[in-house]
Amino acid sequence: MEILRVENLTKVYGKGSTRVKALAGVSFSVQKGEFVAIVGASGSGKSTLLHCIGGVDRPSGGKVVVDGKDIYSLSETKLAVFRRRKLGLIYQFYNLIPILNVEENMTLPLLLDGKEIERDYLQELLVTLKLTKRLQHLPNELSGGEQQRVSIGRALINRPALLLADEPTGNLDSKNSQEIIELLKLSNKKYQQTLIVVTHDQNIARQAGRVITIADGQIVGDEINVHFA
Amino acid sequence: MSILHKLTLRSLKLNRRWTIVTIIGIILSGAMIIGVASIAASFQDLFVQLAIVDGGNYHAKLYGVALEQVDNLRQKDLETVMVNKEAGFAVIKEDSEEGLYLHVCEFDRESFESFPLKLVAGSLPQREGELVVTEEMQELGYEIGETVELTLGERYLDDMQLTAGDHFQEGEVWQAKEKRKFTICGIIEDPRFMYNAAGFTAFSYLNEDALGEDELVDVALRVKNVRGIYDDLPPLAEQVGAEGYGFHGELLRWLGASANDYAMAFLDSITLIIIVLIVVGSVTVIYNAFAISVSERKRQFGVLASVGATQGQIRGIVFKEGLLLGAVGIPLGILAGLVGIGITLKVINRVLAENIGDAAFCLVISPATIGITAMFEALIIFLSAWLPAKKAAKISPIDAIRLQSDINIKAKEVKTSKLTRKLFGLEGDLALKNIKRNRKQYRATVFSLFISIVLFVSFSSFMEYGFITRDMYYGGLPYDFIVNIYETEDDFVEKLLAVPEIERSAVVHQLHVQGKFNKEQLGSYLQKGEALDALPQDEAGNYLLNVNLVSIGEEEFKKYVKENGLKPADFKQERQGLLINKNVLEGKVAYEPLSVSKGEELELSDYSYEGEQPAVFRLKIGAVMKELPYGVNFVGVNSVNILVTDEVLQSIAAGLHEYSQRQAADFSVYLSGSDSEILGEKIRSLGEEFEANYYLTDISALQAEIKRTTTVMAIFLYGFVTLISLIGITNIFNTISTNVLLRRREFAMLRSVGLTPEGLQKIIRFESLFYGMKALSYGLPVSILISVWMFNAFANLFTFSFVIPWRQLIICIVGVQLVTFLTMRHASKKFSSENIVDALGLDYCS
Repeated sequence: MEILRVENLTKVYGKGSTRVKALAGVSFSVQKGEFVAIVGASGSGKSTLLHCIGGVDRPSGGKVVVDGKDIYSLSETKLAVFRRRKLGLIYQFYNLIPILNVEENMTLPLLLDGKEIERDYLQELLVTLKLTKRLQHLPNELSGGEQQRVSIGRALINRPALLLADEPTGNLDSKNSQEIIELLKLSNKKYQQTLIVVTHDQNIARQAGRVITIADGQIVGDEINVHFA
Repeated sequence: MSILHKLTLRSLKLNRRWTIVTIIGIILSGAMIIGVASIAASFQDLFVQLAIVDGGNYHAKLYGVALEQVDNLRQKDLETVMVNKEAGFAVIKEDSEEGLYLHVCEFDRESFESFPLKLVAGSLPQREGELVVTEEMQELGYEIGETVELTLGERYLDDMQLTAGDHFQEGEVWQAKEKRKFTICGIIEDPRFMYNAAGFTAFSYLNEDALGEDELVDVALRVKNVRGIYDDLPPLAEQVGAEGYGFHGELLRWLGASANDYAMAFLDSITLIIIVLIVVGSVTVIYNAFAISVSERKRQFGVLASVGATQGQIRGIVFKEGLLLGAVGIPLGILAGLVGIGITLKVINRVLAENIGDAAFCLVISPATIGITAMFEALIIFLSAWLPAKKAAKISPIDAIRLQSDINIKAKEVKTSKLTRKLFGLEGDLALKNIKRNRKQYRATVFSLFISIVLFVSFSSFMEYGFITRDMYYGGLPYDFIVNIYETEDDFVEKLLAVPEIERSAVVHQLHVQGKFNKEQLGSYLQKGEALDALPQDEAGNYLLNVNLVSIGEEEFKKYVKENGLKPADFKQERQGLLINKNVLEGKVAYEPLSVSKGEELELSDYSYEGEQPAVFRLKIGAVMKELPYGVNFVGVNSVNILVTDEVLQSIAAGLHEYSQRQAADFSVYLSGSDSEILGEKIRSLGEEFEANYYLTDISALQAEIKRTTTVMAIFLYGFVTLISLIGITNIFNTISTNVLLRRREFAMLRSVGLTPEGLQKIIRFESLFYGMKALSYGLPVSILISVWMFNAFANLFTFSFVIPWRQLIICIVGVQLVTFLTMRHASKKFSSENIVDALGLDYCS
């Protein structure tokens, strides 16, 4: 089942002499349950692509259809709600709310919706993410790895259609990095989570089921990883 | 509690300094608004009290109403109906030239309650036949308990009936009406609301039952709604067949009865202008506070947006902050304002006790005032939070993801000239670039400083000009007392001049004559406008001025002439005078009445009566002087002083009509002493001893009164200016310190590449200098313009030239630089020596 379709996506920044074409007509689709890595050199447009897919950066042209919905045809309010319920975003720099504790940061999308927290599911996530003993801590009391795990938990709490991770290990050491990737792979396998990870790290790319290569804002490669299990 | 509410509360708790400073801004603003509204209400209340004390507590009067109609009036929807009647005049002293009457008025109970009769002893009449008399009557031997039989009648001159307001007229006739017995039950002070020109007033009790139905009475009314009174009264008067009607204009004006009344409108406009200024000042502070807060939490709002918070939810966070801050700040502000004003009014009442007598400033608190203040404050907070809330909601999630938040800056926006680098070094260049990159915040801070500067300088200048004009009139007078002598023994004057406390004295004779001047001979002030319109003209088109010929005694004359480098002897031989070419109209203007030169001859004449020809004479101008001699007062706009010797005055008078001769024979004594209080007491006791007929003007008391009034004005104006400045300082503090804190990482980076702590301080000094300079470059010229406008608007013409308010400007320049510098230093002190790498590694999490 197609969970994501990107059609002729373009993104231009600036004007005149400072005009930069970050995306120059990108099109592809992703099936439910896929683990896709988007790779490319610095400045290739991979993060821009991910942000456009994630509904956090409006493209200059083209369409992004997630779970059958053209997300940029929605109003700002509806897009925000869509993001909350259907998309999970994980960033390189965690982007937690500094004045909310671990539990509050993780359940933020639910709380914004005014929904009841599924305690069992939350507990499961906390165990999986090894955060059970850190529930009441604030972000500045956590290590980098722990903070990233919280952000993964936040991304997963609403069982989103798409999980998008932008350089999720960029700010972590190798041990933590591998832990994070394992967690993401786990969510992909256990919860049938469709996962798109932007990375410049070939090691991570090798662990994905499909690798899309971006250069100068265009897709220059789209390969299935035959060794992906 | 919802997550957004939690976020709001925690945010406020975490940013304690910001929260407290913003609440202080709200408190100051609320205190000032309710303060101004309360003061306006208190002023209005005071004027109402004064109007009641002066004229009685009624709104309108119907004259000559038949008693049977009074019940009709009582049926109508009126607050109070008071009945009074003129009982008539009893003769106290029979004299063909100056008779004395006792004017008896009858008041009903409500009238006694509403009209300001101050009881000195005994009680007010409560029954028919009881009478209160004034203290003067007591001096004539009328005492409490005494029964007097009065023959009451009416005064007539030819066929015209005279009233209490008419002086004793030669040829008037008193016609007896009835005899009545009265028992004196009390003594009162001379009532201010009832002027008796021909004697004294007494009040008795009006028994309506004893009057016939068609007997005519006067009815004083208080209505429930004064606004319609000018329209409603005439038909009412007609309905009850009243012979006439009148209004208590002074009271009605202060109760807001007339929409067109200038004084009320002035008070209302001033209140509104001041409140608008406060609102503008407050909005800049509170808006700035929210703008900074949103700017500081840009990433946080971006994250919330990326996680799925809607724009409405994000806006809600900001508005909720406003709501919580308002819930704390508004009640505290109102309370602070009321307490502050309450204390201020108490102080002012003490200072002004002698000026306002029986009235007093009361703190007028009404639920409406409190409600309106709360509403204004809520509006201010809402307006201030609205734009930042909108901005917060518009923050794109991408701003949360990217590390740089200033992606929208273009290179040319932060471009600085090479000259800046040369003059101020790298530190100054960086400071200027920082300011340029954050233009909106910079403008808001500069605007706030600008408002404070303009208000401070303008209000201070206003005070200064007010002081100058006041001082011009009374400040310069060298004497403490003027004793106008009417009828007394010669010993009195001799003893008076011998009082040891007297340091200087002058026996002053005056003669009022008339002078004809063509337009060119008038001074520039009199040559135009309402001054020129006030001058009468003769058939030939000459302007007629009153010329006040004054002599001040030989000793003082010699002193004055010598002080001005002239020879006293020159003024004795020839008939000539010294033109005193300076006059001051109280609180208004100083000017030169005439434009004539030494040697010119004036044609003067005395005033003629009963068809007689005026006696004409000529007087040469021996000198033109600029200062008043001792013993000479400022005069009205259509008059001028000329100083002559005693001999010249008497010789001129000898050639004039009898009236003028009598006038020249009268005199006043001008005195000054080391201790004006003791001197005043001695004068009064001498006057009593000799039973002298004199009038004492206590100049020193007047000067003290003026000083008190200006002190009160100063309290209000400087208090207001201080509070406005405090609001401005709050704003600067908030803006600048937060702005500095936001750039911790930047400063850490600069330090990491070699910027010394001194260098960092230099950047900060330059930034504060640029802020201050910009604000001053706008604020000072505008302030000076406003000062010029006030100079012209509040007085028609000043002959002292416009003075740039240097003192205030210097205070501003120093104050602004000090505030901005201290604020930045305070903010930067915290991190100027911290570990560089900690600050560099900072992200929004800390």
